Amino acid sequence: MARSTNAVPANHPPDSGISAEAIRSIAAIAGISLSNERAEALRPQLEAHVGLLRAISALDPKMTEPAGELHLPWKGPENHD
Amino acid sequence: MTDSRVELCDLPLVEVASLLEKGAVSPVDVTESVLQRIEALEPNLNAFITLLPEEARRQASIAEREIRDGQYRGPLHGIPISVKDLFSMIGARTTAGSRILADWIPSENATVVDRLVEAGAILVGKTNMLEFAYASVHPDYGPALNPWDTTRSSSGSSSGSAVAVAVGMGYGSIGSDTGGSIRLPGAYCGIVAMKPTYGRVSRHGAIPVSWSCDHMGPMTRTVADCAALLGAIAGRDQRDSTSSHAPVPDYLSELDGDVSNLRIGIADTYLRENVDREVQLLIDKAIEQFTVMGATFETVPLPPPSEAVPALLAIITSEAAEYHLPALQTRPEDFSEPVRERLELGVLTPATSYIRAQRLRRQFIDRITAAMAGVDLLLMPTSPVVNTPLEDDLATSEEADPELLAAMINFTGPFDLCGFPALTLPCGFVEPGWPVGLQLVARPFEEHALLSAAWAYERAMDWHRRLPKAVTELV
Repeated sequence: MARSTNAVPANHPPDSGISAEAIRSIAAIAGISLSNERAEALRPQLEAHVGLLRAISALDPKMTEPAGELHLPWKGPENHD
Repeated sequence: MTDSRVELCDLPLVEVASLLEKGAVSPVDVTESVLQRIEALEPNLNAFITLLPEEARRQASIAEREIRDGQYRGPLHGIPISVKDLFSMIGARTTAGSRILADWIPSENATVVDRLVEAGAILVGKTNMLEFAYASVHPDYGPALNPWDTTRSSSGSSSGSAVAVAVGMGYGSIGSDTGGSIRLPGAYCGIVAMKPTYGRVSRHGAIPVSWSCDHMGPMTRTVADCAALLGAIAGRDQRDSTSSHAPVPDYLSELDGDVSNLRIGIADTYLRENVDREVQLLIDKAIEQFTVMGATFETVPLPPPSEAVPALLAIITSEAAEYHLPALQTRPEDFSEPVRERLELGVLTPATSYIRAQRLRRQFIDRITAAMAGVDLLLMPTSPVVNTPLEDDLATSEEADPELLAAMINFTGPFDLCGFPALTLPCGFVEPGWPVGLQLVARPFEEHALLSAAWAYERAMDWHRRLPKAVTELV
Protein backbone atom coordinates (compact mmCIF):
# COMPACT_ATOMS: atom_id res chain seq x y z
CA MET A 1 0.00 0.00 0.00
CA ALA A 2 1.45 3.31 -1.01
CA ARG A 3 1.93 6.09 1.45
CA SER A 4 -0.53 8.26 -0.48
CA THR A 5 -3.43 5.83 0.01
CA ASN A 6 -5.68 6.38 2.95
CA ALA A 7 -8.77 4.26 2.53
CA VAL A 8 -9.90 4.43 6.14
CA PRO A 9 -11.11 7.95 6.82
CA ALA A 10 -8.50 9.24 9.22
CA ASN A 11 -9.95 10.58 12.40
CA HIS A 12 -7.26 13.20 12.69
CA PRO A 13 -7.40 14.52 16.20
CA PRO A 14 -5.90 17.75 17.28
CA ASP A 15 -2.69 17.20 19.17
CA SER A 16 -3.75 14.95 22.02
CA GLY A 17 -1.45 16.81 24.35
CA ILE A 18 0.24 13.65 25.53
CA SER A 19 3.72 14.71 26.55
CA ALA A 20 6.90 12.72 26.21
CA GLU A 21 7.02 12.55 29.99
CA ALA A 22 3.52 11.07 30.11
CA ILE A 23 4.51 8.50 27.48
CA ARG A 24 7.53 7.51 29.56
CA SER A 25 5.42 7.21 32.70
CA ILE A 26 2.75 5.02 31.10
CA ALA A 27 5.40 2.81 29.48
CA ALA A 28 7.17 2.46 32.82
CA ILE A 29 4.02 0.92 34.32
CA ALA A 30 4.50 -1.94 31.84
CA GLY A 31 8.20 -2.18 32.66
CA ILE A 32 9.34 -0.40 29.51
CA SER A 33 12.07 2.15 29.95
CA LEU A 34 11.97 4.85 27.27
CA SER A 35 14.49 7.65 26.93
CA ASN A 36 13.11 11.13 26.62
CA GLU A 37 14.34 11.23 23.02
CA ARG A 38 12.58 7.98 22.18
CA ALA A 39 9.34 9.09 23.84
CA GLU A 40 9.50 12.34 21.88
CA ALA A 41 10.11 10.45 18.64
CA LEU A 42 7.15 8.18 19.38
CA ARG A 43 4.71 11.07 19.80
CA PRO A 44 3.71 11.47 16.11
CA GLN A 45 2.99 7.73 15.86
CA LEU A 46 1.02 7.88 19.08
CA GLU A 47 -1.03 10.79 17.77
CA ALA A 48 -2.05 8.69 14.75
CA HIS A 49 -2.75 5.70 16.98
CA VAL A 50 -4.87 7.80 19.32
CA GLY A 51 -6.83 8.92 16.25
CA LEU A 52 -7.79 5.30 15.60
CA LEU A 53 -8.67 4.74 19.25
CA ARG A 54 -10.88 7.84 19.18
CA ALA A 55 -12.66 6.38 16.17
CA ILE A 56 -13.76 3.42 18.27
CA SER A 57 -14.60 5.61 21.23
CA ALA A 58 -17.02 7.46 18.96
CA LEU A 59 -18.95 4.28 18.14
CA ASP A 60 -21.72 3.11 20.42
CA PRO A 61 -21.45 -0.59 21.30
CA LYS A 62 -24.98 -0.43 22.74
CA MET A 63 -25.62 -3.38 25.04
CA THR A 64 -23.05 -5.76 23.57
CA GLU A 65 -20.57 -7.53 25.80
CA PRO A 66 -16.93 -8.08 24.78
CA ALA A 67 -16.28 -10.74 22.15
CA GLY A 68 -13.50 -12.37 24.16
CA GLU A 69 -14.78 -15.65 25.56
CA LEU A 70 -13.51 -18.25 27.96
CA HIS A 71 -13.82 -21.74 26.54
CA LEU A 72 -13.94 -24.54 29.09
CA PRO A 73 -13.91 -28.16 27.94
CA TRP A 74 -17.20 -29.94 28.33
CA LYS A 75 -16.75 -33.66 28.89
CA GLY A 76 -20.23 -34.56 27.81
CA PRO A 77 -21.14 -37.70 25.86
CA GLU A 78 -20.89 -35.96 22.46
CA ASN A 79 -17.74 -34.03 23.10
CA HIS A 80 -14.63 -35.95 24.03
CA ASP A 81 -11.35 -34.11 23.67
CA MET B 1 1.58 -14.79 -19.57
CA THR B 2 0.66 -18.39 -20.29
CA ASP B 3 3.68 -20.45 -21.22
CA SER B 4 3.92 -23.75 -23.03
CA ARG B 5 7.17 -24.61 -21.25
CA VAL B 6 5.37 -25.64 -18.09
CA GLU B 7 7.40 -27.94 -15.89
CA LEU B 8 6.27 -30.48 -13.33
CA CYS B 9 6.60 -27.92 -10.53
CA ASP B 10 4.24 -25.54 -12.40
CA LEU B 11 1.33 -27.99 -12.56
CA PRO B 12 -1.56 -27.66 -10.10
CA LEU B 13 -1.30 -29.67 -6.89
CA VAL B 14 -4.34 -31.83 -7.67
CA GLU B 15 -3.01 -32.73 -11.14
CA VAL B 16 0.29 -33.85 -9.69
CA ALA B 17 -1.56 -35.72 -6.94
CA SER B 18 -3.45 -37.64 -9.61
CA LEU B 19 -0.20 -38.50 -11.38
CA LEU B 20 1.34 -39.62 -8.10
CA GLU B 21 -1.63 -41.81 -7.21
CA LYS B 22 -1.45 -43.53 -10.60
CA GLY B 23 2.30 -43.95 -10.31
CA ALA B 24 2.87 -41.86 -13.43
CA VAL B 25 5.41 -39.75 -11.54
CA SER B 26 7.19 -40.36 -8.26
CA PRO B 27 7.46 -38.08 -5.22
CA VAL B 28 11.20 -38.03 -5.82
CA ASP B 29 10.72 -36.58 -9.34
CA VAL B 30 8.21 -34.05 -8.08
CA THR B 31 10.43 -32.97 -5.20
CA GLU B 32 13.48 -32.66 -7.44
CA SER B 33 11.49 -30.46 -9.83
CA VAL B 34 10.55 -28.15 -6.96
CA LEU B 35 14.09 -28.11 -5.54
CA GLN B 36 15.48 -27.22 -8.97
CA ARG B 37 13.04 -24.35 -9.24
CA ILE B 38 14.10 -23.19 -5.78
CA GLU B 39 17.74 -23.38 -6.78
CA ALA B 40 17.01 -21.33 -9.89
CA LEU B 41 14.85 -18.59 -8.38
CA GLU B 42 15.44 -18.35 -4.64
CA PRO B 43 18.63 -16.27 -4.98
CA ASN B 44 16.56 -13.60 -6.78
CA LEU B 45 13.32 -13.78 -4.81
CA ASN B 46 14.30 -14.43 -1.16
CA ALA B 47 11.12 -16.44 -0.46
CA PHE B 48 12.62 -18.72 2.20
CA ILE B 49 14.32 -18.25 5.53
CA THR B 50 15.23 -21.93 5.91
CA LEU B 51 15.39 -24.56 3.18
CA LEU B 52 15.17 -28.27 4.00
CA PRO B 53 16.34 -30.01 0.79
CA GLU B 54 17.88 -33.09 2.38
CA GLU B 55 14.93 -33.70 4.68
CA ALA B 56 12.60 -33.17 1.69
CA ARG B 57 14.51 -35.77 -0.34
CA ARG B 58 14.34 -38.21 2.57
CA GLN B 59 10.57 -37.70 2.93
CA ALA B 60 10.14 -38.05 -0.83
CA SER B 61 11.89 -41.44 -0.81
CA ILE B 62 9.62 -42.62 1.99
CA ALA B 63 6.52 -41.37 0.14
CA GLU B 64 7.68 -43.08 -3.05
CA ARG B 65 7.99 -46.39 -1.23
CA GLU B 66 4.61 -46.00 0.51
CA ILE B 67 2.75 -45.19 -2.71
CA ARG B 68 4.46 -48.02 -4.56
CA ASP B 69 3.39 -50.35 -1.74
CA GLY B 70 -0.24 -49.28 -2.05
CA GLN B 71 -0.29 -47.05 1.02
CA TYR B 72 -1.50 -43.90 -0.75
CA ARG B 73 -2.71 -41.42 1.89
CA GLY B 74 -4.53 -38.83 -0.21
CA PRO B 75 -3.99 -35.72 -2.32
CA LEU B 76 -1.06 -34.33 -0.32
CA HIS B 77 0.93 -37.56 -0.32
CA GLY B 78 4.29 -36.86 -1.94
CA ILE B 79 3.48 -33.17 -2.57
CA PRO B 80 6.14 -30.53 -1.71
CA ILE B 81 4.71 -27.84 0.55
CA SER B 82 6.21 -24.97 2.56
CA VAL B 83 5.11 -23.29 5.78
CA LYS B 84 5.52 -19.72 6.96
CA ASP B 85 8.42 -19.42 9.36
CA LEU B 86 6.18 -18.85 12.37
CA PHE B 87 5.04 -22.47 12.50
CA SER B 88 7.05 -24.55 14.96
CA MET B 89 8.77 -27.52 13.40
CA ILE B 90 10.84 -30.05 15.32
CA GLY B 91 14.51 -29.64 14.50
CA ALA B 92 14.04 -26.71 12.11
CA ARG B 93 14.77 -23.18 13.28
CA THR B 94 11.66 -21.05 13.53
CA THR B 95 12.50 -17.36 13.42
CA ALA B 96 9.16 -15.68 12.73
CA GLY B 97 11.25 -13.32 10.61
CA SER B 98 12.86 -11.89 13.72
CA ARG B 99 16.28 -11.49 15.31
CA ILE B 100 14.68 -12.32 18.67
CA LEU B 101 14.04 -15.94 17.56
CA ALA B 102 16.91 -16.19 15.06
CA ASP B 103 18.32 -19.35 16.67
CA TRP B 104 15.19 -20.96 18.11
CA ILE B 105 14.74 -24.62 17.25
CA PRO B 106 11.40 -25.94 18.54
CA SER B 107 10.99 -29.33 20.17
CA GLU B 108 7.36 -29.62 19.10
CA ASN B 109 5.49 -29.32 15.82
CA ALA B 110 2.68 -26.86 15.22
CA THR B 111 -0.57 -28.72 14.66
CA VAL B 112 -0.67 -27.74 10.97
CA VAL B 113 2.82 -29.18 10.53
CA ASP B 114 1.74 -32.42 12.20
CA ARG B 115 -1.28 -32.60 9.90
CA LEU B 116 0.78 -31.98 6.77
CA VAL B 117 3.18 -34.74 7.83
CA GLU B 118 0.27 -37.11 8.54
CA ALA B 119 -1.11 -36.34 5.08
CA GLY B 120 2.25 -37.33 3.55
CA ALA B 121 3.28 -33.84 2.39
CA ILE B 122 6.97 -33.12 1.74
CA LEU B 123 8.08 -30.07 3.72
CA VAL B 124 10.62 -28.18 1.61
CA GLY B 125 11.21 -25.14 3.78
CA LYS B 126 10.14 -22.30 6.05
CA THR B 127 9.13 -19.18 4.16
CA ASN B 128 10.19 -15.56 4.59
CA MET B 129 7.75 -13.27 6.35
CA LEU B 130 7.38 -9.87 7.93
CA GLU B 131 8.83 -9.73 11.43
CA PHE B 132 6.49 -11.52 13.83
CA ALA B 133 3.84 -11.12 11.10
CA TYR B 134 3.56 -7.52 12.20
CA ALA B 135 3.70 -5.43 9.02
CA SER B 136 7.45 -4.77 8.63
CA VAL B 137 10.46 -6.57 7.19
CA HIS B 138 13.33 -7.18 9.61
CA PRO B 139 16.55 -6.04 7.93
CA ASP B 140 18.28 -9.32 8.86
CA TYR B 141 16.06 -11.12 6.30
CA GLY B 142 14.99 -8.51 3.75
CA PRO B 143 11.79 -8.63 1.70
CA ALA B 144 10.53 -11.52 -0.44
CA LEU B 145 10.35 -10.05 -3.94
CA ASN B 146 7.26 -10.01 -6.12
CA PRO B 147 7.83 -12.50 -8.97
CA TRP B 148 5.64 -10.50 -11.40
CA ASP B 149 7.82 -7.42 -10.94
CA THR B 150 10.61 -7.34 -8.40
CA THR B 151 10.38 -3.57 -8.08
CA ARG B 152 6.88 -3.94 -6.58
CA SER B 153 5.93 -5.11 -3.11
CA SER B 154 4.79 -8.68 -2.45
CA SER B 155 2.87 -7.28 0.57
CA GLY B 156 2.80 -9.37 3.73
CA SER B 157 3.10 -10.82 6.14
CA SER B 158 2.98 -14.26 4.44
CA SER B 159 5.00 -12.79 1.56
CA GLY B 160 7.52 -15.63 1.20
CA SER B 161 4.70 -18.18 1.05
CA ALA B 162 2.91 -16.25 -1.71
CA VAL B 163 6.10 -15.78 -3.72
CA ALA B 164 7.12 -19.43 -3.36
CA VAL B 165 3.72 -20.72 -4.46
CA ALA B 166 3.46 -18.31 -7.39
CA VAL B 167 6.70 -19.54 -8.97
CA GLY B 168 6.46 -23.27 -8.35
CA MET B 169 8.75 -23.45 -5.33
CA GLY B 170 6.18 -25.84 -3.82
CA TYR B 171 2.55 -26.61 -4.66
CA GLY B 172 1.17 -24.79 -1.66
CA SER B 173 2.09 -23.08 1.55
CA ILE B 174 0.49 -22.40 4.91
CA GLY B 175 0.29 -18.77 5.96
CA SER B 176 -1.29 -16.77 8.75
CA ASP B 177 -3.68 -13.84 8.54
CA THR B 178 -4.44 -11.31 11.30
CA GLY B 179 -5.32 -8.24 9.22
CA GLY B 180 -4.87 -9.60 5.68
CA SER B 181 -1.53 -11.40 5.81
CA ILE B 182 -2.64 -14.38 3.72
CA ARG B 183 -4.92 -12.55 1.29
CA LEU B 184 -2.88 -9.40 0.54
CA PRO B 185 0.32 -11.19 -0.53
CA GLY B 186 -1.91 -13.70 -2.28
CA ALA B 187 -3.48 -10.90 -4.32
CA TYR B 188 -0.20 -9.11 -5.02
CA CYS B 189 1.40 -12.38 -6.18
CA GLY B 190 -1.57 -13.64 -8.24
CA ILE B 191 -2.45 -16.81 -6.31
CA VAL B 192 -5.42 -18.31 -4.45
CA ALA B 193 -5.19 -17.74 -0.71
CA MET B 194 -7.76 -18.40 2.00
CA LYS B 195 -8.29 -17.15 5.52
CA PRO B 196 -10.64 -19.80 6.93
CA THR B 197 -13.21 -19.21 9.67
CA TYR B 198 -11.68 -18.44 13.07
CA GLY B 199 -11.46 -21.83 14.76
CA ARG B 200 -11.43 -23.84 11.51
CA VAL B 201 -7.63 -24.40 11.56
CA SER B 202 -5.65 -24.82 14.76
CA ARG B 203 -3.35 -22.01 15.83
CA HIS B 204 -1.37 -24.26 18.15
CA GLY B 205 2.37 -23.94 17.62
CA ALA B 206 2.20 -20.78 15.55
CA ILE B 207 3.91 -17.69 16.99
CA PRO B 208 0.97 -15.34 17.63
CA VAL B 209 0.44 -11.74 16.67
CA SER B 210 -2.97 -11.61 18.29
CA TRP B 211 -4.55 -14.74 19.75
CA SER B 212 -8.09 -13.61 19.10
CA CYS B 213 -7.49 -12.44 15.52
CA ASP B 214 -4.91 -14.90 14.09
CA HIS B 215 -6.08 -17.30 11.38
CA MET B 216 -4.02 -20.02 9.67
CA GLY B 217 -4.80 -20.95 6.07
CA PRO B 218 -3.78 -22.39 2.70
CA MET B 219 -2.06 -20.57 -0.18
CA THR B 220 -2.02 -22.29 -3.58
CA ARG B 221 -2.13 -21.64 -7.33
CA THR B 222 -5.65 -22.98 -7.93
CA VAL B 223 -8.92 -23.21 -6.05
CA ALA B 224 -9.00 -27.02 -6.11
CA ASP B 225 -5.49 -27.05 -4.65
CA CYS B 226 -6.72 -24.73 -1.92
CA ALA B 227 -9.58 -27.14 -1.16
CA ALA B 228 -7.17 -30.07 -0.92
CA LEU B 229 -4.78 -28.23 1.38
CA LEU B 230 -7.54 -26.86 3.62
CA GLY B 231 -8.98 -30.36 4.01
CA ALA B 232 -5.65 -31.60 5.33
CA ILE B 233 -5.15 -28.94 8.00
CA ALA B 234 -8.70 -28.14 9.17
CA GLY B 235 -10.47 -29.58 12.18
CA ARG B 236 -10.68 -29.70 15.94
CA ASP B 237 -7.43 -29.64 17.90
CA GLN B 238 -7.57 -30.06 21.64
CA ARG B 239 -4.34 -28.05 21.93
CA ASP B 240 -6.16 -24.94 20.66
CA SER B 241 -9.17 -24.20 22.85
CA THR B 242 -10.67 -21.93 20.19
CA SER B 243 -10.63 -24.59 17.49
CA SER B 244 -14.06 -25.75 16.43
CA HIS B 245 -15.78 -29.12 16.69
CA ALA B 246 -17.57 -28.41 13.40
CA PRO B 247 -17.12 -31.38 11.06
CA VAL B 248 -14.67 -30.95 8.18
CA PRO B 249 -16.28 -31.55 4.77
CA ASP B 250 -14.40 -33.09 1.87
CA TYR B 251 -13.82 -29.70 0.31
CA LEU B 252 -12.26 -31.09 -2.85
CA SER B 253 -15.08 -33.49 -3.76
CA GLU B 254 -17.72 -30.88 -2.86
CA LEU B 255 -16.56 -28.44 -5.55
CA ASP B 256 -19.52 -28.31 -7.92
CA GLY B 257 -18.99 -25.15 -9.96
CA ASP B 258 -22.69 -24.32 -10.05
CA VAL B 259 -23.33 -20.69 -9.22
CA SER B 260 -26.71 -20.46 -10.93
CA ASN B 261 -28.57 -19.90 -7.68
CA LEU B 262 -25.84 -18.01 -5.90
CA ARG B 263 -26.80 -14.72 -4.27
CA ILE B 264 -23.88 -12.34 -3.83
CA GLY B 265 -23.89 -9.23 -1.68
CA ILE B 266 -22.01 -6.05 -2.54
CA ALA B 267 -21.64 -2.70 -0.80
CA ASP B 268 -20.28 0.59 -2.13
CA THR B 269 -18.05 1.06 0.89
CA TYR B 270 -16.25 -2.14 -0.13
CA LEU B 271 -16.28 -1.50 -3.89
CA ARG B 272 -15.97 2.16 -4.79
CA GLU B 273 -14.56 4.20 -1.92
CA ASN B 274 -10.83 4.90 -2.25
CA VAL B 275 -10.38 2.04 -4.72
CA ASP B 276 -7.96 2.37 -7.64
CA ARG B 277 -9.80 2.77 -10.95
CA GLU B 278 -7.96 -0.19 -12.48
CA VAL B 279 -9.01 -2.40 -9.57
CA GLN B 280 -12.63 -1.23 -9.87
CA LEU B 281 -12.73 -2.08 -13.57
CA LEU B 282 -11.54 -5.64 -13.00
CA ILE B 283 -13.93 -6.16 -10.09
CA ASP B 284 -16.79 -4.89 -12.29
CA LYS B 285 -15.79 -7.43 -14.94
CA ALA B 286 -15.79 -10.19 -12.33
CA ILE B 287 -19.31 -9.16 -11.30
CA GLU B 288 -20.35 -9.36 -14.97
CA GLN B 289 -18.82 -12.82 -15.26
CA PHE B 290 -20.62 -14.12 -12.17
CA THR B 291 -23.83 -12.66 -13.58
CA VAL B 292 -23.28 -14.44 -16.90
CA MET B 293 -22.85 -17.67 -14.94
CA GLY B 294 -26.22 -17.14 -13.27
CA ALA B 295 -25.40 -15.50 -9.95
CA THR B 296 -27.46 -12.56 -8.74
CA PHE B 297 -26.18 -9.48 -6.95
CA GLU B 298 -27.80 -7.29 -4.38
CA THR B 299 -26.62 -4.37 -2.31
CA VAL B 300 -26.37 -5.22 1.38
CA PRO B 301 -25.95 -2.90 4.38
CA LEU B 302 -22.46 -3.92 5.45
CA PRO B 303 -20.97 -1.93 8.30
CA PRO B 304 -18.09 0.03 6.72
CA PRO B 305 -14.40 -0.80 7.16
CA SER B 306 -13.97 2.44 9.12
CA GLU B 307 -16.03 0.86 11.91
CA ALA B 308 -14.05 -2.37 11.94
CA VAL B 309 -10.40 -1.64 11.20
CA PRO B 310 -9.73 0.70 14.16
CA ALA B 311 -11.26 -1.88 16.51
CA LEU B 312 -9.17 -4.63 14.96
CA LEU B 313 -6.00 -2.57 15.39
CA ALA B 314 -6.81 -1.77 19.02
CA ILE B 315 -7.09 -5.51 19.69
CA ILE B 316 -3.99 -6.48 17.70
CA THR B 317 -1.74 -3.81 19.17
CA SER B 318 -2.79 -4.71 22.71
CA GLU B 319 -2.43 -8.48 22.34
CA ALA B 320 0.85 -8.22 20.40
CA ALA B 321 2.35 -5.92 23.02
CA GLU B 322 1.41 -8.31 25.82
CA TYR B 323 2.91 -11.32 24.01
CA HIS B 324 6.18 -9.53 23.22
CA LEU B 325 6.47 -7.62 26.50
CA PRO B 326 9.38 -9.68 27.92
CA ALA B 327 11.52 -9.09 24.82
CA LEU B 328 10.42 -5.46 24.64
CA GLN B 329 11.61 -5.02 28.23
CA THR B 330 14.96 -6.74 27.81
CA ARG B 331 16.13 -6.48 24.19
CA PRO B 332 14.04 -3.83 22.39
CA GLU B 333 16.88 -2.99 19.98
CA ASP B 334 16.57 -6.45 18.43
CA PHE B 335 13.15 -5.61 16.95
CA SER B 336 13.06 -3.66 13.71
CA GLU B 337 12.28 -0.02 14.42
CA PRO B 338 8.66 -0.01 13.13
CA VAL B 339 7.74 -3.25 14.91
CA ARG B 340 9.26 -1.91 18.12
CA GLU B 341 7.18 1.27 17.68
CA ARG B 342 3.99 -0.74 17.13
CA LEU B 343 4.66 -2.76 20.26
CA GLU B 344 5.30 0.41 22.25
CA LEU B 345 2.02 1.84 20.95
CA GLY B 346 0.35 -1.33 22.21
CA VAL B 347 1.83 -0.79 25.65
CA LEU B 348 0.37 2.73 25.60
CA THR B 349 -3.12 1.54 24.54
CA PRO B 350 -5.60 1.82 27.42
CA ALA B 351 -7.33 -1.37 28.57
CA THR B 352 -10.61 0.48 28.12
CA SER B 353 -9.88 0.82 24.38
CA TYR B 354 -9.19 -2.90 24.14
CA ILE B 355 -12.46 -3.77 25.88
CA ARG B 356 -14.38 -1.25 23.78
CA ALA B 357 -12.92 -2.82 20.65
CA GLN B 358 -14.03 -6.29 21.79
CA ARG B 359 -17.55 -4.98 22.39
CA LEU B 360 -17.60 -3.38 18.94
CA ARG B 361 -16.33 -6.66 17.54
CA ARG B 362 -19.37 -8.48 18.89
CA GLN B 363 -21.61 -5.79 17.44
CA PHE B 364 -19.82 -5.98 14.07
CA ILE B 365 -20.37 -9.76 13.97
CA ASP B 366 -24.07 -9.26 14.66
CA ARG B 367 -24.40 -6.59 11.99
CA ILE B 368 -22.53 -8.47 9.30
CA THR B 369 -24.49 -11.63 10.10
CA ALA B 370 -27.72 -9.68 9.61
CA ALA B 371 -26.42 -8.08 6.40
CA MET B 372 -25.61 -11.52 4.96
CA ALA B 373 -28.96 -13.07 5.88
CA GLY B 374 -30.22 -12.90 2.32
CA VAL B 375 -27.01 -13.66 0.44
CA ASP B 376 -24.56 -16.55 0.23
CA LEU B 377 -21.35 -14.59 -0.29
CA LEU B 378 -19.88 -11.12 -0.39
CA LEU B 379 -17.67 -9.88 -3.24
CA MET B 380 -15.11 -7.06 -3.16
CA PRO B 381 -11.49 -6.27 -4.02
CA THR B 382 -8.85 -7.85 -1.81
CA SER B 383 -6.84 -4.63 -1.81
CA PRO B 384 -7.91 -1.11 -2.76
CA VAL B 385 -4.70 -0.75 -4.82
CA VAL B 386 -3.05 -3.02 -7.39
CA ASN B 387 0.24 -3.04 -5.49
CA THR B 388 2.87 -0.55 -4.39
CA PRO B 389 6.48 0.24 -5.21
CA LEU B 390 8.74 -1.78 -2.95
CA GLU B 391 10.55 1.28 -1.62
CA ASP B 392 7.29 3.06 -0.76
CA ASP B 393 5.62 0.12 0.98
CA LEU B 394 4.67 -0.11 4.63
CA ALA B 395 6.68 -3.33 4.93
CA THR B 396 9.91 -1.50 4.16
CA SER B 397 9.05 1.77 5.90
CA GLU B 398 11.10 2.91 8.89
CA GLU B 399 7.98 4.00 10.79
CA ALA B 400 5.02 2.22 12.41
CA ASP B 401 2.57 4.46 10.51
CA PRO B 402 -0.77 3.34 12.07
CA GLU B 403 -2.87 5.17 9.48
CA LEU B 404 -1.11 3.52 6.55
CA LEU B 405 -1.49 0.13 8.22
CA ALA B 406 -5.21 0.79 8.64
CA ALA B 407 -5.52 1.76 4.97
CA MET B 408 -3.63 -1.32 3.83
CA ILE B 409 -6.03 -3.73 5.57
CA ASN B 410 -9.19 -1.80 4.74
CA PHE B 411 -10.95 -4.67 2.90
CA THR B 412 -9.28 -7.62 4.63
CA GLY B 413 -9.18 -6.55 8.28
CA PRO B 414 -12.96 -6.49 8.82
CA PHE B 415 -13.09 -10.25 8.25
CA ASP B 416 -10.30 -10.91 10.73
CA LEU B 417 -12.35 -8.93 13.21
CA CYS B 418 -15.51 -10.98 12.64
CA GLY B 419 -13.72 -14.27 11.87
CA PHE B 420 -15.72 -15.02 8.71
CA PRO B 421 -13.91 -17.03 5.99
CA ALA B 422 -12.52 -15.10 3.02
CA LEU B 423 -10.56 -16.01 -0.08
CA THR B 424 -8.62 -14.10 -2.73
CA LEU B 425 -8.12 -15.28 -6.29
CA PRO B 426 -6.82 -13.50 -9.39
CA CYS B 427 -9.41 -11.55 -11.40
CA GLY B 428 -7.14 -10.10 -14.06
CA PHE B 429 -3.98 -8.17 -14.71
CA VAL B 430 -3.13 -4.54 -15.26
CA GLU B 431 -0.25 -3.24 -17.33
CA PRO B 432 2.61 -4.06 -17.17
CA GLY B 433 1.44 -7.48 -15.99
CA TRP B 434 0.51 -7.05 -12.32
CA PRO B 435 -2.19 -9.36 -10.90
CA VAL B 436 -5.28 -8.06 -9.11
CA GLY B 437 -7.13 -10.03 -6.42
CA LEU B 438 -10.86 -10.58 -6.05
CA GLN B 439 -12.07 -11.30 -2.51
CA LEU B 440 -15.05 -13.52 -1.66
CA VAL B 441 -16.41 -13.80 1.88
CA ALA B 442 -18.78 -16.45 3.28
CA ARG B 443 -20.65 -17.10 6.50
CA PRO B 444 -18.81 -18.96 9.28
CA PHE B 445 -17.78 -22.52 8.38
CA GLU B 446 -19.08 -22.17 4.82
CA GLU B 447 -15.66 -22.48 3.21
CA HIS B 448 -17.18 -25.01 0.79
CA ALA B 449 -19.46 -22.29 -0.63
CA LEU B 450 -16.50 -19.95 -0.97
CA LEU B 451 -14.43 -22.58 -2.77
CA SER B 452 -17.24 -23.64 -5.10
CA ALA B 453 -17.94 -20.09 -6.25
CA ALA B 454 -14.23 -19.36 -6.67
CA TRP B 455 -13.77 -22.61 -8.60
CA ALA B 456 -16.60 -21.75 -11.00
CA TYR B 457 -15.09 -18.32 -11.67
CA GLU B 458 -11.56 -19.69 -12.04
CA ARG B 459 -12.68 -22.27 -14.60
CA ALA B 460 -14.39 -19.56 -16.63
CA MET B 461 -11.22 -17.47 -16.80
CA ASP B 462 -7.58 -18.30 -17.43
CA TRP B 463 -5.83 -16.06 -14.93
CA HIS B 464 -4.46 -18.95 -12.88
CA ARG B 465 -2.66 -20.38 -15.92
CA ARG B 466 -0.40 -17.36 -16.28
CA LEU B 467 3.14 -17.67 -15.04
CA PRO B 468 5.00 -14.85 -13.31
CA LYS B 469 7.73 -13.02 -15.16
CA ALA B 470 10.33 -14.59 -12.87
CA VAL B 471 9.31 -18.02 -14.28
CA THR B 472 8.85 -17.10 -17.94
CA GLU B 473 12.30 -15.52 -17.97
CA LEU B 474 13.81 -18.88 -17.01
CA VAL B 475 15.07 -20.62 -20.11
